[in-house]
Amino acid sequence: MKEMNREEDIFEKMKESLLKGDKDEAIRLAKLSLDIGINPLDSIDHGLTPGIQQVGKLWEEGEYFLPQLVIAAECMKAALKVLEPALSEKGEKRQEIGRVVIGTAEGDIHDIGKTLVATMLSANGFEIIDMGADVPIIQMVNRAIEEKADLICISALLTTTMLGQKRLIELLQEKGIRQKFKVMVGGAPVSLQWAKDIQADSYGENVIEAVSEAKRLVGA
Amino acid sequence: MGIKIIKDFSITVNEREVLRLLGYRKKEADRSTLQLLKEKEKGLPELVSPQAVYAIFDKSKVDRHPVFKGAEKVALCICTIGPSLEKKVSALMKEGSLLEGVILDALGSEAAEGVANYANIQICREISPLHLFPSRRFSPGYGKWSIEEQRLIFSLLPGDSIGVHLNPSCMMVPRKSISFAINLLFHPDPRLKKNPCHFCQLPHCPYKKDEHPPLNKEK
Ligand code: B12
Repeated sequence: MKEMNREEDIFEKMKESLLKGDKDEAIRLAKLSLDIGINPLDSIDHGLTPGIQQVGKLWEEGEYFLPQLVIAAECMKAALKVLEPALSEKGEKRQEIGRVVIGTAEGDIHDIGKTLVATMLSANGFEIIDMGADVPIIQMVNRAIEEKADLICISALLTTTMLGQKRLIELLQEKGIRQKFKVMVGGAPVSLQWAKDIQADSYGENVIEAVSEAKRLVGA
Repeated sequence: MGIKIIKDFSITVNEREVLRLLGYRKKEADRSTLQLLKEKEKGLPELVSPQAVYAIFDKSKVDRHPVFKGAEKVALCICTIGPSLEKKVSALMKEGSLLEGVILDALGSEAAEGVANYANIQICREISPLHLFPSRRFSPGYGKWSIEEQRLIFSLLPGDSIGVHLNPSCMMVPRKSISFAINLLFHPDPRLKKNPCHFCQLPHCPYKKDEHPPLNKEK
């Protein structure tokens, strides 16, 4: 009974460390949880994941802003880095809700928004293959095939590089594999209308929408 | 007046605008964010090297695009803060210091605006003997002036003199760069009084400015 309380206490504190954006504390708790033999999967499912979800909720409610979102993702990433080796030692794996190939369109050197989306997706349980910025469309498609991705996410900063999003979808159609992948588009000049026009499966205006839309697309 | 290159000037960064880029519109930022912002701001001089190239052209030199309507002459300008800041941002993002990266990136964007403001004022000073009235500055990629028009600016100004080039998708490298034009008119431009966001067609932009900032306000 006492052990049980201790576990829950740690999960609660993990959650709090994300809400407060306290990275050192998040790392300390992750280490502590391993020391006292808590299954890392439980720490992820009952501590970190509810924490990051709560942060997303507070952002939607206008209580939290981009910096809090980013620091929470940063804390989660740091805590996962501690927990993951223990997981693989056990031969276990965090339940992955979908595989995502993500990148910024060809000719587009901007990648901060894309990196934030990738980080939040990863914090929410997606397996991420981040191809960086200025990625040739053909490489993105090939990688998605290789990795058996569920979702391709492509970001663009300018109306010119947005065309890469359209070309990606056309290439999938030409290859006859459009149905194999969901495609989500985003970036400053991208709109829902554009997503519809190019027959993308979804569009996310910001990181939180990106996460909820990605989840919807993979049926999680 | 020929082509002018200006370097090694100091710029000011408008903190409020940086906070707006970070999503704070009405609410005050929390203390730890502000603290980190101040800290990163102190390191800016090392990461930012303001540079600009500009020249004033006769209307016959630019094309007949409607954005130049009524102009006697047109000033064109390319500005940058150089590549160091974005390299630092990438390194921070890579090592997992996401918040520092995001804050520094927003500071870099405002620093680029700071360079554009400085160059704008410089241009206004230089045209005073011409007895022409400057318009607000406007940039390719906003409103009716498409991003492809960057090619016009780069064909008339040597971007490489300040280390800026245009890639095939019309994106400027380094990223924290701005290009703009100013129409020089016989009469004051009535559009001066309007908020520049008024002319932009981007729907739901989270960064839309609500105030009407006065022209050439030193930031
Ligand atoms: C700050 C800013 C700048 C800065 C810095 C640019 C940079 N990226 O480093 C400066 C001042 C230098 C600048 C310059 C220019 N800019 Co500017 N800039 C902006 C502004 C205000 C914010 C961009 C930003 O940094 N956002 C912060 C990051 C974190 O957000 P993000 O990358 O958009 O990502 C978020 C979402 O988009 C989404 N997301 C991103 N990727 C993905 C992917 C998926 C799959 C999903 C689901 C979601 C998603 O989630 C992210 C996090 O919430 C936008 C306006 C806007 N509404 O966004 C204009 C904007 C991007 N700029 C614009 C323009 C035109 C320019 C210039 C061409 C102007 C000029 N002629 O000089 C130059 C181009 C610079 C270049 N290198 O070529 C236009 C582009 C429109 C177009 N026609 O293409 C915009 C949209 C403004 C507008 N009102 O039209 N700019």
